[in-house]
Amino acid sequence: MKNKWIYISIIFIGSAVFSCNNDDDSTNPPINNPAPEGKNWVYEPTEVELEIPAYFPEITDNKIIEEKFQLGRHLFYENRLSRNNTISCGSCHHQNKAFTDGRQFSLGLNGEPTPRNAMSVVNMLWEDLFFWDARAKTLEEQALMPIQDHIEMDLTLAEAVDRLYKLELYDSLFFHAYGDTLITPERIALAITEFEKGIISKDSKYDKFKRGEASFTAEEKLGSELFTTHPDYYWDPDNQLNIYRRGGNCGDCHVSVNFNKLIGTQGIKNNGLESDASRKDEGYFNVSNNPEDKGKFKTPSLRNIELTAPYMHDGRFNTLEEVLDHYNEHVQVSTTLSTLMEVSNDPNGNIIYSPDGKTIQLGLTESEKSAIIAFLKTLTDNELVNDPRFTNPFLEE
Amino acid sequence: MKHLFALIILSSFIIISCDNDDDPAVVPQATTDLVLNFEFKLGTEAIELGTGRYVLGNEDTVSIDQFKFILSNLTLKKSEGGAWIDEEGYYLVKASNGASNFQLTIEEVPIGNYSSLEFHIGMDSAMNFKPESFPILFQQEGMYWDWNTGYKFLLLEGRYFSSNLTTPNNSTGLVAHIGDMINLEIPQFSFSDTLILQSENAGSINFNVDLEKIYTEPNVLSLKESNNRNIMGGPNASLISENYGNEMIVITSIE
Repeated sequence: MKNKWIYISIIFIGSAVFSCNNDDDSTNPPINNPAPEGKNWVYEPTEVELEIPAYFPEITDNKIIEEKFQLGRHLFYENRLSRNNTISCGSCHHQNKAFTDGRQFSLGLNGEPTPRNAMSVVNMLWEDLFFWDARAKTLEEQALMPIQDHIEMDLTLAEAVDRLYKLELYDSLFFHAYGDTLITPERIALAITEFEKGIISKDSKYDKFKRGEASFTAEEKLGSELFTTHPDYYWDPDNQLNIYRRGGNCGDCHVSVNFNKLIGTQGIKNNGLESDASRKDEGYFNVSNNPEDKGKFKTPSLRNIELTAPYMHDGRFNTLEEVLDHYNEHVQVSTTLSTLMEVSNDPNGNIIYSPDGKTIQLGLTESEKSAIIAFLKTLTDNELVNDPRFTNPFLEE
Repeated sequence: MKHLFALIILSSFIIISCDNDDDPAVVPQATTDLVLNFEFKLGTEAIELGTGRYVLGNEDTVSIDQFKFILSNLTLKKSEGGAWIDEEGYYLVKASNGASNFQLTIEEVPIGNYSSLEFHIGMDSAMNFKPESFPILFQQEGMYWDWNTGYKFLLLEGRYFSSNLTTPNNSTGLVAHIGDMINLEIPQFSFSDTLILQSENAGSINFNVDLEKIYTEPNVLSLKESNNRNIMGGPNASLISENYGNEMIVITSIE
């Protein structure tokens, strides 16, 4: 009797183990990726969970594959993805400038300027539109555009794939990222994207302030309040009366984790750089063909803004002081000007126009402008710009 | 074999006792969905964001680019007494391009007969100053002031047109961003017909939201005055909130 019970148990356990095996087989596709002949490579993708502060918007996919990240890092810095082998993504996105290039207009493979200023490539997981004119809707779509642009890198995707096939380095990198040595435009885009997803800025003084690890100076605190305040009267619960608050009017557009993230196209604005008559670059209108979008551009991230000069889509301002002067004194009235920039009230409830009626002013003092700049400088993340994980791998090899 | 029998008996005993655990005291309530359907209008016209121009009763001409408000603390009162409060529900009711209405589905509403409804247009004071407690969406929708005012309860942005204006297109901005706990409005709606929620199908309530009322009922704020076209706080914000808490939203039908 006892023996029989043991026997039954063994069968039971055996079948349990067997069915477990079956389950594994059905959920995980079999790993059947022999390394190319003569190579002892093993495909073992390493999942890395991204370090994301609790106060960042939640994202569903917070993991990257380390091998794909490393492939993307090589592709990001790969000069051979340009027709004359001279430039890569990294040529216009320097880590020490928070992945911008310090130029008014970035230069393409023949030294020809591109039409606009290079945008920072940081915290891309929290972006949903790309380029100044928002012409790309996904990071993957964005990644392949500069490679094909005739001024920038000027390769067809077929040529890009061909070139990478001829470089032995990429056999190994693609194998370890994807399990075989197949190279496709989609795989190139996904790998560059994986690298960019890993570039997270979360250690600025502002972040440390949010985490309670640092405190703002009085000037930075004033700057943060001016930054978010739209000039108007507000109820003061302490004194039980309405008080007029002065403000820089920045926070109407520059919100959330990257200080740019109004949902979708709500974040595409005309910020008063030109009048209807003087405007040359129509921005998002070229994408949408809607006349209401003339002169509108994607609101850029303000993270590391101290490092990303010059400013605006056309790099017209060299310093943050010039930027503040623009918003305070020189906003041009036009048909598509952001409504929230237009309606900035003085204490009498009136918009402050210049005498000729062509510009709108905020009425900030010099010290208030300096305070806003002091706050903006708390967004500088020195750990990001020195992080060895984002450096050019070709300089190490 | 005896052991095996014992095991089977034991297992069934566990299963039975599991069932028993679910039973005591709290009987799981049957619930259903309640759909709130908001039709956005200016006067009698359905709104079309951006392009539509509307002549108000006093002949002011406006267009609307954005309109949204936070709806929270929804409370349904039962015909036979008692109430159900949607304690966790903080929603954004929003007009968007290409649709003049917005459907909000309240999930897991207990079935029963209801006679009236109320909700906050905005936040409650416990939550108004806690940006991290809420869907980040509220921030990304521009519904949060970062410092000591808390959330924008209601946001309207558009244009005001007048031949008296010398600005491009003879137009200027029309903005109302209303927040501050003193401007919290809690409109109440008595149902002319009982709302009967049954488990098989979702109930629905249709609302008209007339944006013109924001400037007219009962406080008249003429848009010919520039300080009525841009309201973010101050005494005018209280006049506006009184208006939108009053007759802006009305029930047109209950299904």
